[in-house]
Amino acid sequence: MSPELFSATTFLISVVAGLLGSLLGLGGGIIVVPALTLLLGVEIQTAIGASVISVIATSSGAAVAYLRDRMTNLRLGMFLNLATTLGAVAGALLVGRIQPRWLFLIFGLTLGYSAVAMFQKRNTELPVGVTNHPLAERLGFADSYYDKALGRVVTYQVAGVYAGWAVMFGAGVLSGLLGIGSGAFKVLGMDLVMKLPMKVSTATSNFMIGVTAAASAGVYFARGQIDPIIAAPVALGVLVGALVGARFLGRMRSTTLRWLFVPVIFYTSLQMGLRGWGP
Amino acid sequence: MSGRWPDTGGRWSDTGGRRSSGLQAEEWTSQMMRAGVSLAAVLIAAGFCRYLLQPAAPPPPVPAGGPAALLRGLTQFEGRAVINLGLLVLIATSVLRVAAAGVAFALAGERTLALTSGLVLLVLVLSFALGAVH
Repeated sequence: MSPELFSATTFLISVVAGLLGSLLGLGGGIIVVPALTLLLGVEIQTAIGASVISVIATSSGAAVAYLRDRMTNLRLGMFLNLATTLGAVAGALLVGRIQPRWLFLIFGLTLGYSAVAMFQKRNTELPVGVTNHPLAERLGFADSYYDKALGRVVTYQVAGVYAGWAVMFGAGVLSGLLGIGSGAFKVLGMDLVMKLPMKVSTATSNFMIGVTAAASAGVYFARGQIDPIIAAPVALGVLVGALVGARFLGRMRSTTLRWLFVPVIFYTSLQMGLRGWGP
Repeated sequence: MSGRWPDTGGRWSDTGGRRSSGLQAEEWTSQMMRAGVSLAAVLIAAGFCRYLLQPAAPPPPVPAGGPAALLRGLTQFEGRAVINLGLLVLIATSVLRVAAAGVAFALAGERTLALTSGLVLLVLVLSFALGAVH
């Protein structure tokens, strides 16, 4: 394959990854890593380096619009970011002390269960009857945004702050220990535990994954594990996809998002389960 | 800002005055990120075009490592070095968003959230240091 064709293919794959990642609050690693390794024959370490850049580009590309449109809950995102970053450090310290296969199995099963729980909520457009958690009340986490699909302002409350913080800590441990993105857990934590509207969950997760990935990206960069010739079309493609995706999110129904999210989560849970089950 | 929400006449009309600090934090962070992402995209695109147009040269086995190599590459307008600078700007933008939000929270007197932002920054630096020595 010529360098030009390689770069063009990488760019197009990355556009799709950025589009899907920005809509679903994921980093796009589940698309970028298999595409680069299986389709384009890139070594796994280089693909992971490019994937970290993909997470940051997705997050940064979409965050501008999501913050402007107030779909990102910045106050809550910052509060939960402390949990994910602390979890990531804890996870990094546990490397070599815990058998990753058990974690893959446990988290694969958890994701599978969550996929079922979200499927059961597939026709829920907005959460109802949510009571604000006392800490959410104190720190002003309850917020509102203008929902273009519904044509009205959606005001929401935030429940389960402590449980949500624990889920985010677990997501961080997962990132630090297994070297995978954990956007799926963040979205599920906010949607199922903290009872946020789906769009707020994906937009806030989008903001958070970029912050968590920045530390790993710095390390990968310092070690020379990010190949600029592969990272460049990935970053540019993902930025384009994320910018387009961010324009779509506001206009989409939450139920449509759930229909997109469930199969992706189910696929990720299978992937994790197989990594735990395999040799 | 008014007019963004046509049915409310303004972004914060349905919330209490205390929340205006959130508006500032979001605006600051959004603007800072817009500038950072734009600069990163221009640098990465310019570097990549330069790389594609450069006469074929054997690529170094490891991407430009260390500030000295990066500076040397930049002074020679070497494609890889310019891309690396763009990637660094992209990574830095991701970290600086926390700082921008933290400053906005602090200026608004939101001590808990400003402190949280500071702690997140501290943990980011710590995790970078841990990763670098691992």
